Amino acid sequence: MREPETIRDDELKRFRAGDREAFTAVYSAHYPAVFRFALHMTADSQKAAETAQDVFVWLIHHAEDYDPARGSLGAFLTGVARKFLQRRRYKEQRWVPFDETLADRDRRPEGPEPDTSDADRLRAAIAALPERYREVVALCDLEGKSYEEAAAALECAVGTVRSRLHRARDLLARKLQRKPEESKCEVRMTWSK
Amino acid sequence: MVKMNCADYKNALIETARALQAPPADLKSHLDTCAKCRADFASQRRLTEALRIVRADAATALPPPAAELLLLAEFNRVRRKPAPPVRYRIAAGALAASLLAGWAGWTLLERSPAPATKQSPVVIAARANSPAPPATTAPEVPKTVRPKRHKPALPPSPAPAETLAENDAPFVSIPFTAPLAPYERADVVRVELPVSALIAAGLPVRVPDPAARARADLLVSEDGRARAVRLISVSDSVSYRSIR
Repeated sequence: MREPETIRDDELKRFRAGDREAFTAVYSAHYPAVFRFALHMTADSQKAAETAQDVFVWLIHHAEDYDPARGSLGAFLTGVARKFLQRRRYKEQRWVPFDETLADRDRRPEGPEPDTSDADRLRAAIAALPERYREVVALCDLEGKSYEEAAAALECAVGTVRSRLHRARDLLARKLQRKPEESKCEVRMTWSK
Repeated sequence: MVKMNCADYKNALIETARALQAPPADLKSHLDTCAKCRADFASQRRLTEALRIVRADAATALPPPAAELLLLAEFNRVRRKPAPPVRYRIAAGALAASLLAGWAGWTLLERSPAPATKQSPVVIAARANSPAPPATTAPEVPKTVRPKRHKPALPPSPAPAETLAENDAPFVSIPFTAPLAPYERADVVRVELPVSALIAAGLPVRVPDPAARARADLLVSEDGRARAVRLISVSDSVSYRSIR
């Protein structure tokens, strides 16, 4: 896979003109980042793949909408993915998943939950974060983007990104400090404010 | 010297822990004296290490292999006929609209004389080679130039297909219509009509073939009625019967 920085302007122009190889270059450079961002946001590889697919299909149909003067293509695609995820979450709010029904809850095994590592608990904690905090954690801490790049993707100020990230890290650190069985209700109570 | 509290070190604490760096001197001196910030710093470093593990795991997560093929198929389907840029589409739309408006206006102009010819009989009373007829040029049509029906003052018409002078021929008032007032506005409309229509209207037109077509300019007043006419040309190349 190529790094996003290696995408040249002429490749973007050729992609807009309908060059298949140029599109392959854009896809190879940016698809993994979009997929990972969607994976961090959804904690579901299938949903992440569908979202990344939607983003690039949208890019094929709206290649002219990207203005290089306003930012990098990576940040632009991250912003598009964010919109698709918001739309997906809005649609999913109308449905109750099967695993949260009473019948499914009764089938869960009795006894204490197995102890998990920091990484496993962190994944669950990130997935439970409010969306505005999950976005900055996914972009800055998991994708390694700078505050400026994250601000461009999220369409907000750099200071907003920094303050959200610090708040999110506070919440995640408190979650990691607690034991798994006590952290559930505690964190839910804190974030439901 | 201003005394700094824990909140003042909060940002530096998190940023230092994010980078997994050693704390700078001022932060280190604060951490040495503040147990709470020292615990926060340790938990932030632990969080950073856990985030790096999650990040490394996510880097190994691969998208489905069919994704690229599906996208390339969609790309080929869409890019087979690349859509022109938006500005070209707007320009093409404007051009099409202007052409449509021009066609509509031309159609209206072409159709407008038709009722006038039905309402008023047309009189041919002008020829280029003839002496000056009792008529005036547009837009003034005096009352005294109305021709008499049974006493044609014109000599015999020339051969068919003879073209008359377009601009020099004067307008002749149409019988049984009120003449134009001096202040009244009028439009000149070019029409093509059969000579037989002129003859039927009682006009002294003499041509070998009454089915010949004549081109004429009508002087149409504001009420839509033809008040005067001048002959442009007469042609027998088109048969009246064939048109019908």
